[in-house]
Amino acid sequence: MAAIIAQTLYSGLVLSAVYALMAVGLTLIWGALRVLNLSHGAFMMIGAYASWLVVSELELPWYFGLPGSVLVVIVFGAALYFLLLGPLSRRPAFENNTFIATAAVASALEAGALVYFGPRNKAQPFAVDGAIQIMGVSITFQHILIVLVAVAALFALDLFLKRSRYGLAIRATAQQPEAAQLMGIRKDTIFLLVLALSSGLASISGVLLSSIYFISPVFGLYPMLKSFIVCIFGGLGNMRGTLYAAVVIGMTEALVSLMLGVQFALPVMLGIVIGVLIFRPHGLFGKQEIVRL
Amino acid sequence: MTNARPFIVGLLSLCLALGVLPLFISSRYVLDLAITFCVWAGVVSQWNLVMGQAGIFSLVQVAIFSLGGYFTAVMGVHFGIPPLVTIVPAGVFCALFGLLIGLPCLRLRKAYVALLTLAAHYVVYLLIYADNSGLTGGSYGLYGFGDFGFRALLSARYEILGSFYSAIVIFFVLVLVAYLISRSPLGLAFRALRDSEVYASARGISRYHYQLLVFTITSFFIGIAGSFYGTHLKLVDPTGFEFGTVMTMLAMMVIGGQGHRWGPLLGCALVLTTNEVMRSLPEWRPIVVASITIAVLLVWPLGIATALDKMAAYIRRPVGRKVHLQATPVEPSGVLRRSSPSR
Repeated sequence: MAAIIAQTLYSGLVLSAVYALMAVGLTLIWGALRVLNLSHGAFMMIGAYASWLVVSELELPWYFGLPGSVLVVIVFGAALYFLLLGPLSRRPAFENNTFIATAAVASALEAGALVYFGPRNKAQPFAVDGAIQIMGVSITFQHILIVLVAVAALFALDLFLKRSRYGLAIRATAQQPEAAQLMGIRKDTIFLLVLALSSGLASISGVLLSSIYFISPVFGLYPMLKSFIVCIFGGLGNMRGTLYAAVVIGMTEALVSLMLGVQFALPVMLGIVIGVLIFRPHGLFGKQEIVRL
Repeated sequence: MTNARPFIVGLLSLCLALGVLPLFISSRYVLDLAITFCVWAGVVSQWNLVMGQAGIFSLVQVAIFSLGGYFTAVMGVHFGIPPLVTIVPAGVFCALFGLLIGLPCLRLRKAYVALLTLAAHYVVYLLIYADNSGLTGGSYGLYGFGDFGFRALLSARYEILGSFYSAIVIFFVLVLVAYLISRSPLGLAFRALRDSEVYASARGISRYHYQLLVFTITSFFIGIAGSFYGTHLKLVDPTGFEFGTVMTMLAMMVIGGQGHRWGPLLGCALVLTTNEVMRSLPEWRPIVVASITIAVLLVWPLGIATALDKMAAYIRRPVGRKVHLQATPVEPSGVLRRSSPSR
């Protein structure tokens, strides 16, 4: 029994690492730009396929999968900015329209992947074999790789946001867009930079998550929904809260899957989040947003 | 407030035009398509009321639509109650469900509402899809729960006509109710909240209460449409919950024009036409619909109907002499004065 619980907590931890990566990408883009990016899940899917293409078709070693897919998805993110979000940001009804437009992009990308790659699942080549046993818990090297990459990516992001001038500019824009612009920060540059960062995070989490499951055209959807729940739980736009929330949600998912069955994971999560929102409408760690009039 | 008559007359003539369609076309396929148009246009009109008028970014309406069908199916399969009896209770059931979703969700704002309602949509989907108790039929869905009795009444050959005319009635009622609500004090409250939320709240207009009210009312009508559509198809299954369905309805609303009274009908007609054009290439359909949606968002961010309105206003503008509107805020009377034509 103890071994089962330990195994569950361990797999919850692995899930938390990936959810944190996804949710931070979503919350970053919301915090800085007020864009709710529904194509995040599709970007994950593109990232996973890109890694597969790089390794299987270009016949490069497996560890080229991750950097290759990050590059590809950043190009997609830049295209999303230049073709869609940039022009939309200069038109009325920005918030609603970006939401619908990114949903449309997601549905187009999914259909496109289905046409191009076919419906058959593919295995993620960015993976290592082998496992060790510690106290009855089987720890695969793949899971260690996932946690290492996720934590490294999160640390790199934190360093970038806290230590670099561009990171400062992003945080300033998130705090007060108008004041940041008055200080000479170009809104367009920040927009592009944040989208690139967020797409990079999406592709990393896509590659990592697909190494646990399989790559298929729709595999990004449910992880994206769960990371939305993580974001709401931690407070949209709040990085630290998102990280804590990812751990809580990942653990909850593992425990609920063990005790009730996998299909109840999402309903239970939603129930918890609704419960939290009734008492804290801006998430567990979210600050009360002051509406400017 | 604008005159209601043009819209109602327009809607009635549209229904009449649809009503004489069987005289010219007897193809079952076309009539089925017309039924789909009627039901979806009605549902999108109601959703448009929630999203365009009340400003609730809710994505749970497709789940409510499907639940309406499921209620009728479950009642028919497990209790033997015919759909004709359960169509209104299905609406009530959906209204209660909408109220249940709305109570926590509407306390929040835009992005949060969108995410939570989307999650709620998938929760309903997963619960139905993974249900192995037999209540909802799981991934197979339910069928054989009876019909409205048109087959017995009109024979198998003309059965479709019964469904067709009922669809027109549902279409008329849903679109008209959506329009009347947008003209009612409820619509006025939403306009006030949109123009100045502080002033409206200070005058005692509670955003939460009014949004909850409109959410529940529209859920009722969407549920009725769902019950009718499920009975018409003689089948309910979880494919109705796919993201493609949500996207298609969103596309209808956006292409037509959010918050515009004709928008949903126009958008629905355009998207269904696109679907028909793309019939031989079904796997490309989502790509084309999404591209059209994005193109419309970029060119006419408020939809085609709104763009047409602007165009009509441009064409109808006074021609021949230039008219200058001049605001004179310093004058004590403070009215707009039209200057004399310049020569």
